[in-house]
Amino acid sequence: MPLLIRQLAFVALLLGASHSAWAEFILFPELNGILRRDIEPNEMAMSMGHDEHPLRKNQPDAALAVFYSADYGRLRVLAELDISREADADLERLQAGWLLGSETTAWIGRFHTPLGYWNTQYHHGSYLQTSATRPGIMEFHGLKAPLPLHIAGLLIEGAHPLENQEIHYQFSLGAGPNLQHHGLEPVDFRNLDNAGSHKLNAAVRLSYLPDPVIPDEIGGFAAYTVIPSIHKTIREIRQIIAGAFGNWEYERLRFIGELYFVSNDLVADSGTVRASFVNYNLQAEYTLHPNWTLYARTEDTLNAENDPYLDIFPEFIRRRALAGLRFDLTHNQALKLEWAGVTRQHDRFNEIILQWSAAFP
Amino acid sequence: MECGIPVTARRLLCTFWFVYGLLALAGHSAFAAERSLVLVRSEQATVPPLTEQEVRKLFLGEALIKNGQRVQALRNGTSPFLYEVFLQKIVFMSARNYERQLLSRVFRLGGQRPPAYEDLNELIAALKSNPAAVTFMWEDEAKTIPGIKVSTQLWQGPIE
Repeated sequence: MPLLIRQLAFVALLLGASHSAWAEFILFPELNGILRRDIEPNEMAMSMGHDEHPLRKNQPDAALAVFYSADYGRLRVLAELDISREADADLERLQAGWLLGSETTAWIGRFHTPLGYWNTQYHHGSYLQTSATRPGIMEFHGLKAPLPLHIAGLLIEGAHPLENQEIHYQFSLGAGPNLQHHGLEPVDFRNLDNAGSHKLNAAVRLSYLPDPVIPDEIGGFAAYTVIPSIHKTIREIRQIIAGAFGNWEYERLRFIGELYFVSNDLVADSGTVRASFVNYNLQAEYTLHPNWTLYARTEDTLNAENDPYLDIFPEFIRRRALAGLRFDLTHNQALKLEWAGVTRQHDRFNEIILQWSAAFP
Repeated sequence: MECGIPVTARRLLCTFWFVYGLLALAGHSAFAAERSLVLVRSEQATVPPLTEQEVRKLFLGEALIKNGQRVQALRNGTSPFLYEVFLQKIVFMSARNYERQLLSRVFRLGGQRPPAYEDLNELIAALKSNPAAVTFMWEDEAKTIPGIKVSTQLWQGPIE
């Protein structure tokens, strides 16, 4: 209860502060109806004493992302609070930045790790993304999220103009997550006393924009993270991530793609085990009408089976093929219907999601 | 036996299309008046002229610092037609796409969406109260408003 009071007080503070002319306060609510069928293997759940397979439970879901940003001269503050069943009420981003120039900002705080396309373009407000879901590799909570998507520390981001084109860059250095029994746990500013051990995360992301005001972008990224673990069998994980991404739009068509190479050294008292996997996702979108968008996505992971690191994340979606339809009800509300065939580390199922999402105001 | 349109009728048709074409051209030049879209600021403002690229980025919610001060964009929503011309000719986006881009950039980078004004008096008051503020309007309209001045011409062309 005290935690809830603190969260509500925080929201009230943001609301109060948003009366400034230089502030934004945006709510991103969403409602999800999820239907899962053809779950395999069904026997596992039954043998564990469940009357019904756990994947069939908790089908309706709701979430709210609260976004706040304000400028005080060259000082910029940004906060994002995510309230959901999975995350309870998490302060996902809390950062203060100094505008060094029109193109460059130095941030301190907790922010998105500069990895790939999805993690820098979209996050908790699913209204902004065309699809109802994000790729499995970009999940950010619990036992389905294998990558450190939030870090706390220093971030420098900016752009270098090249006539009518631009190179964008992001460098970050800070404290990465640690590995708990429920998954990766980033630095939690609200609970620093019990934060546990956090070690180095360093990341870099570079991209080329043929025109800085349109969303076409191609680039690459790399990160190194040391992840301390509370698991008895693993002392820490030394993780290297490298990859490439692109977003390309042409009239009614849009393609988003990402490629990840992830190498993990699992350090134990008995020695070190090295394992690596490759993950990719490719999403295609076609605007049938300004209000109707058809989309499809494929994602897959190579070398995922029996990977000792991915086995820590049994809910990680390592393969998925999906198709969906987005209908923009108004200028700030959308309905999405998505069908997917999902393969996780140890099970698979088909899923239909009906999602309503919005951005207010 | 010859089929189709008789020669006289064909000549009449050609004459009709020729005259119609001339009238249409005359009408075009008569009604498609040239208008000029400009960026304006208050007379006291010290914001230097901006490039078209800077204007596009500024109105997409990105930070712009000139002469050490933050430039603030004000959206002129007093005329839906003017707003549409600005988006089409300067930002090169539909209104829906622009709103989504704006939201996406602010969500990603922080900052604010440029405030929109539907009342001209409020817009002018906001412009005059902030020496770093700029907005867009028709040049002929801007020249009739005391206390503001044209900073940059953004676009000029026929308006039908």
